[in-house]
Amino acid sequence: MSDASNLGYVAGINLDTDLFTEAELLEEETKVAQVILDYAPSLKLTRGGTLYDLVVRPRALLNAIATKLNKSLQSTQSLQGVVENPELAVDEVVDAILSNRGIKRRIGSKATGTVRVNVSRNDVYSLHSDLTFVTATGLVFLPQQSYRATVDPQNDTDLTIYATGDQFYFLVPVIAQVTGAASRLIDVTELLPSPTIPNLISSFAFGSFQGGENDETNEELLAREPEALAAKNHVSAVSISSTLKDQFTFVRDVSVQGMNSLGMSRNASNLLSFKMGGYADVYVRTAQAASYGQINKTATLVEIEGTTKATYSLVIDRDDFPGHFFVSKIGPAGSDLVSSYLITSEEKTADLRTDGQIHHVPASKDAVYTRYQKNTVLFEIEFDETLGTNPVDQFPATLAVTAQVAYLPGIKEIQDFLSDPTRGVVLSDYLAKAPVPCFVHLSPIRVHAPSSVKGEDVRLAVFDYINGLPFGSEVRVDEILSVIKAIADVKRVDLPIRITGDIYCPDGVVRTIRDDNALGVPSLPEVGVVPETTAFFVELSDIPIAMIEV
Amino acid sequence: MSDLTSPEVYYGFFSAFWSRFFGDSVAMRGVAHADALDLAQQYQNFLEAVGNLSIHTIEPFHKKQWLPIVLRRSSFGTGPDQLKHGSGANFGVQPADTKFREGVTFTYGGLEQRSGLYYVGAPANLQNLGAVITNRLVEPSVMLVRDSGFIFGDGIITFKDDPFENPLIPKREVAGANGNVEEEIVLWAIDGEFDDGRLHEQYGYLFSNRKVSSESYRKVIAAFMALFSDGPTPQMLEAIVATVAGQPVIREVSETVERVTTLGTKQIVITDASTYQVSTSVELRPEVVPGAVLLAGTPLTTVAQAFDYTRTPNWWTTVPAIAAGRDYIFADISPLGFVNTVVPVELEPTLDLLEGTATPARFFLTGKTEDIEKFWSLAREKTAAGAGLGDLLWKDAGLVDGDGAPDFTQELYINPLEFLVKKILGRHLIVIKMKVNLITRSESFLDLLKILKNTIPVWCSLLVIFEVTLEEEFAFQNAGEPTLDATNLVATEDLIAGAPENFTGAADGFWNDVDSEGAPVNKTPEALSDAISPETITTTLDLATPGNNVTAYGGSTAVLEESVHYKLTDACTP
Amino acid sequence: MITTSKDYSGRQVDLSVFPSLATANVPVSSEFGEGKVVAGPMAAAQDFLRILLTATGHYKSDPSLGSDFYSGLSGKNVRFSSDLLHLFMIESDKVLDYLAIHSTNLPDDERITEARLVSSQVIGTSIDLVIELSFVAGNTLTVRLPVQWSI
Repeated sequence: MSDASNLGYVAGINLDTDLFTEAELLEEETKVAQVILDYAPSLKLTRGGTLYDLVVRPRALLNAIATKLNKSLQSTQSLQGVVENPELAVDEVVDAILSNRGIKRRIGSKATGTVRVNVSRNDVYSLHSDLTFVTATGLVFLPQQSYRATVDPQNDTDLTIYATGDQFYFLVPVIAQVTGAASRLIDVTELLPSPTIPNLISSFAFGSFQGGENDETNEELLAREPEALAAKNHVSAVSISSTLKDQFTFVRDVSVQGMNSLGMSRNASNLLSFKMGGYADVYVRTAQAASYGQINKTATLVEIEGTTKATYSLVIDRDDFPGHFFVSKIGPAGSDLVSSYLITSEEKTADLRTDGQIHHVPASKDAVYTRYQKNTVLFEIEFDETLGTNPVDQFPATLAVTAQVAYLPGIKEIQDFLSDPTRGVVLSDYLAKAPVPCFVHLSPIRVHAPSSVKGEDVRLAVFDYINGLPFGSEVRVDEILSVIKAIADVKRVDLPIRITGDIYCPDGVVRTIRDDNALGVPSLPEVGVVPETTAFFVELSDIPIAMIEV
Repeated sequence: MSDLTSPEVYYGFFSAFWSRFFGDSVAMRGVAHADALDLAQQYQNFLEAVGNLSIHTIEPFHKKQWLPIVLRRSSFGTGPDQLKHGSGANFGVQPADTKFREGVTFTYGGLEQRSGLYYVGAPANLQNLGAVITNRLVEPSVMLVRDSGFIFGDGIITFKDDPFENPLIPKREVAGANGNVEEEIVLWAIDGEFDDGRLHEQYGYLFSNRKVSSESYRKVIAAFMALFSDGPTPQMLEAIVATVAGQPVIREVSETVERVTTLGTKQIVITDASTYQVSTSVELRPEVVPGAVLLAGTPLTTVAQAFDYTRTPNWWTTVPAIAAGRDYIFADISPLGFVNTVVPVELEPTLDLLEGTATPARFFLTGKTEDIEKFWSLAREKTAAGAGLGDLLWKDAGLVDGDGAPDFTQELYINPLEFLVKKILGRHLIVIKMKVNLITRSESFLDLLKILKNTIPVWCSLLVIFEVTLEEEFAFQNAGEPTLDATNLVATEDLIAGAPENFTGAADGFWNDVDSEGAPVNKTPEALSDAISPETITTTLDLATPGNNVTAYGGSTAVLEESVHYKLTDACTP
Repeated sequence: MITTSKDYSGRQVDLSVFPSLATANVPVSSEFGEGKVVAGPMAAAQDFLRILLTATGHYKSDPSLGSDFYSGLSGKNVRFSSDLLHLFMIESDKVLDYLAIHSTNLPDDERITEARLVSSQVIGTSIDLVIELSFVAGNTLTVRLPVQWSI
């Protein structure tokens, strides 16, 4: 037996009163005597008394031994109790225990978004950074810095005032005061500025807010424990997953497609289509929801179709939002992208300029959602007759545009990490990939509940469930019902709930799947889509909730 | 003073007044004894709790040093009625030397007849009892010894004699369930071991949903944890597959084999540090000989083995075939068999491609015809100029003309399995071979496969080979007429090898789904409807030793042999 | 339920382990007897006798409790009555000191001021000690304590 098996206490050797000081024993005796006296004050329990000898002393001895053993045990404890009651465990304790296994808690993030402020006068407005925007539910948002709103912006901290009818508005970038998912406001949620802004008519969320994630819970942390046992290297599926989650705390889920995996195909580009060793595709989900970022680019005129329209080409390079999903909007440079030119196609190809490691990418689809992806987007601009110019004047050879791109962060950084010669495995060809996204839409969910239940809470519960599903899962109606019913006071949820998913397949095709019970990813390995490579994403705006008061 | 867990020492805790001058010193001794017992159990709990900190020290069961067994007349002689699998009972008359009374007859379907014995149900999670049951905690006058005075198993304590008839066991009267008065006795068992689920809660949950504890399960979990933290070293793989198969592995860092001997049905391996027992039905590894120094984790038997190409390049030579399906070939096909035998390479018509010509080729594979054709067709589609399979194989074999071009006038033979292992997959294969019939513990097997899949290098492949013992003959059976007909019998060897020419006419009819005159028939015997046909026996092949055939299955999820069992009727089963 | 045969109201009661203490001129025996309780001067006397017969330092939590009376008696230093008297005076003082420290809250008739060895008589292997205890309140109590004496 090792020393740890008895912590130095050996029956027959030292399990005796020598374990204690006089003071320790006396303290126990005093405690026992006092408890008995509290119940029976007429008992003579003075030291030297008979009852004291017969009752107090032996009981105190047993207590002292029990206390000693328990204290010794506690000093070496690991996960006892924590595993059984994770919801009761204090975060600090769990953090401390799990730090022994090299696990760090994923820290939440603050939601960001834009507040549209409608004012009645075209004026210059100063917005100090300590200005707050507060929702009816008390959520507080701050401007990302001090701004000045004006029709004639001069520098980066100036916001443009736009006219609409006889009113005016400007858009203020804001960030939530605290981390957490609750601050993911949905479009047009009302926010009141404090102190108020002169000439204010109204202010509200301009588009749904992004980001905003809770700290990792104890349950989520503990779920990572098996991986934490694994050696920290890039050898096995488990160790790759473990290493990435340790290195990049925003990584939420990892699916490794190795030599024989169904989702692996780039290793079979040989004569007999045999899957060869040496390759792995590492799919990483780095955020709950897709992020939407903007970039200013120059588009190139492709062709002008008479007096109807022109087609332009825009290249989203491999370093612009590496591994991005798609381009969602394109507008004139600096526009607010409230509307977009008509995007007609995207063609994703591989840009394999070497960055230290040469990857085997036999087909364009194998580069999709990797940091080596290059996206050529075609979009159309209608000819505007009212301008009174001819098409050649309206459609210059190059055009400055702003594009909005849906993406997951960190793909390039993770690829660099996997390829880093100080960490990577010799002779291995690992490609980091964002998951193949399946964007989920739900039919309206009718929830019967008293007015105390907020629709936002229901929406967030569904949002967290779907965006928290690991690779290989199905979106299940029964589980949607469960998470809604878990909200206090919800009485009933009406069926059916129809689930639709749009899978943005690596071959460029968007395939739609539907189900009323459980939406699963089909197995289409030839286009890189299998459950283990595909992840479900849902936007708050795609979870319509109808609250029916009972 | 020392050892307060000893009653006498604890007695000494009270001063000399109580032991020397006090008239009721016997009562004081009793008080001290009770406290000492409490303390001993507390210390036991403490040791167990400390042991929980490590998979290597955790006790699978909680031990109660003294366990009261309360017997009432009304509940005596009752308990679980039905025998459990593995209880050691025999169908029919019980022989001597079992835990059941010799001569008692057990029948299927009926309640167990335990006449003449006195038994009572124990707590459901009681796993084991110590050597004795006594009537008192102190200076007992009745001491029942396990296996002679009582036996324990299947949650039942069975007494040889009726304890209510023993005058030395004090009885007391208590109120029964119906308000009646009945007799109750309390006996004391030592070292009751309870499964409180700690093994699962502490460690097992990391790997498995199995919640039943045992010492062997502890070893399996320890092996899993070592695999996770140390990675898939060749030695670790060997150790873990052996452990999961219930086979002993060397315990200490290094042990020297001192003696190998046989005792009854056991082979005994004695080292300078331990003694290991294995059944005589399993084969010891050749390196387990006196004088050999074996390192920790070295398995002693050949029941489960792990190989890789760099250390055992010829592992494939004893394997009859490997089936490669979608796990190995990126195409929508069912598994194709790469047999371990020499076959001719057949050239196919030369292809005229834009950049030049190419000569495809093919060789014998087993499998569904359409999938075999699909495989070779795909190869043709991917053929580049000058790089047809024929071009490549002939050049690789050195069959070239003076210009270095393939000389197709010469014949070429290859071994498909050797080709697969040496030229294509071999250096990325981790091979695990298990003799299924000899595995003493297989319930951890699915856990093992799942874990191995996650812990091997991702650029490698795991090939699990199950060796199964088959019956010598099988019979085809018509689902509509479930009777055995001798004319339908086929030799296993012929079946596995796919040699229907050796079948009887009737069996051949089943096999080929034709009538005796060769015309197609539309019979629906279960075997045929389940697709047992020449095309599906693809992954099972002849072995030199009848009765010890081997099935190889690429990937890691199923034993293909099972499907053969399901679809054929074992000729030896009446 | 502990029962009392006297009115102990206002008194702290202890378990009686010298049931015959109250009977004058009867040698006290030490046992649980019928499980009675004791209080008042009797309880104080009981503590005195028990501590006198407990070896000093036996209880780790209470190193000053006890006396060396018994070990002194068993040794070879007691040959004459005067030796015994001397031993008793020294050891009983230790007990009285201990009781004085730990009996501060007791009423005066339970606080012993003096213990006097009135007489001693050897009967077989036992010494019969007659001890008179005086209390702060002025009351006294005389007990006959037989002590096994082994040489």
